Amino acid sequence: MKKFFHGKKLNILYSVIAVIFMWVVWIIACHIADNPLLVPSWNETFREIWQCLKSGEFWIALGGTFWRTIAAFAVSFALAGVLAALSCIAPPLRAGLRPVIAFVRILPTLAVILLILRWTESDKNVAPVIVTVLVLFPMIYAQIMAAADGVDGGLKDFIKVYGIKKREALFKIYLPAVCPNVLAQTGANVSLGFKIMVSGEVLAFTRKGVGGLMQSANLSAMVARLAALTLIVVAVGIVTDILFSQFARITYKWSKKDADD
Amino acid sequence: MIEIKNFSKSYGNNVVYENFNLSLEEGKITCLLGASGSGKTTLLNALAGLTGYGGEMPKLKCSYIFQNARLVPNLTVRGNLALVCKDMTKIGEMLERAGLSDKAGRYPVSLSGGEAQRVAIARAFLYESDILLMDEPFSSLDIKLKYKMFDLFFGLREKDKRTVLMVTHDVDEAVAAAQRIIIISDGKIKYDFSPDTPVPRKAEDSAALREKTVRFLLN
Repeated sequence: MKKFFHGKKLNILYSVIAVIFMWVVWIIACHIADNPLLVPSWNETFREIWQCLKSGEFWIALGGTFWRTIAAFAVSFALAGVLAALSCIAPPLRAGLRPVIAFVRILPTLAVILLILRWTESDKNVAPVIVTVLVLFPMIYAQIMAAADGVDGGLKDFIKVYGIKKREALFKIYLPAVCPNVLAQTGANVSLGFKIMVSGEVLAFTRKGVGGLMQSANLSAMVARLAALTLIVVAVGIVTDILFSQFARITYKWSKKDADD
Repeated sequence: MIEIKNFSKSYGNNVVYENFNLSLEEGKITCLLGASGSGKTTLLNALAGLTGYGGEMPKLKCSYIFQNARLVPNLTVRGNLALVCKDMTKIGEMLERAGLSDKAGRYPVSLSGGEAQRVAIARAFLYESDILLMDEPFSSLDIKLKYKMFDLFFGLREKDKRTVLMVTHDVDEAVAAAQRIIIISDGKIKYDFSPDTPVPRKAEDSAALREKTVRFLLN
């Protein structure tokens, strides 16, 4: 037994034990509450998950939320990347951006979404995207800048002594040095973006979005459906994190193995 | 002549150099020898424009062989050389002369310490500079590898008699390579002599020069 469960298998075993533990806590909470409008039973919730997976409306909503998350991530990544590159080339810009980034970072998300809903004249698709960008952009910018600051000082000396042109230094030295660190966090960033997007959709009542379905379930007091949608969001978040992390891992071959050109 | 005049440098209250003067003959290998912390690297960094200073320094295009190779990890050996020279024919020739042709497509992570330092030497010679600065370039290598590096260095220098300023605390490195040895201590020149034996030095010439240099160092 001890021989069979080691390394990776042992980690899987611990994860399974954790899931069983949470399931038991759920059953106990369900018994204590004894009210399906407060804590729905697990079998009712899983029935709702199955109903969701069978319905076309759910898949359209999930696709909509996912698409908006990717769009928000892409905008945040591009904006953060360009501004970080400019900040590296022109340090005064970095100093100027510091208060702006700090301001965006501390903006209260839920309050902002209400304001955006007013400004965008009730466009329930755009508001969650803007809020997700407002959360992701300063975070990704900070990650890129931290990675850029972490570039080996010896390489910075080499760039200076050998008069490497700024453009060449940026594209051939800085970006490749920064990318592994930044890409490694892509999975976590996208899955956080997904979570923020769902929250935004709940508040904006976005029709073709998981958040909209959640709000609809909440207004109809369908607690089991609400719990089912929550579990689906968690599962999608985990899968997204794993998929993007794997993608990031295969993009920087040079740090691990040899290659002949 | 490359003239350094009234060079001054301090770190806080610690004065490393004050009105230090040095003339370097072009085309010669000069070695600054001194104990660790005697400010040798500071002088090289000032010449390379990596640190601020007081006084007069000539504006020079520098090649610099650092203590570690400082190769760009995401570029192959060929890519690293291409950063400092755009002529692919020259790069090909340099790879050949440095014995790196079979390593051209390798990334630095897969090179040994000695191979990485070979690339750094090739890169320094490939870059068209006025002076080649060397900061204890072989200190991390074992004795066998160290002498292989000297072979490469002198092999490349046969065609390219570049001015070289090397700093080291290793007497053997100085004795093997220098046409002029300057011993510095507390930011001042203690001894400055030019042995008349040609470089790379033969074993019998090295032994006598080594003894003399050690005597000066301990004095």
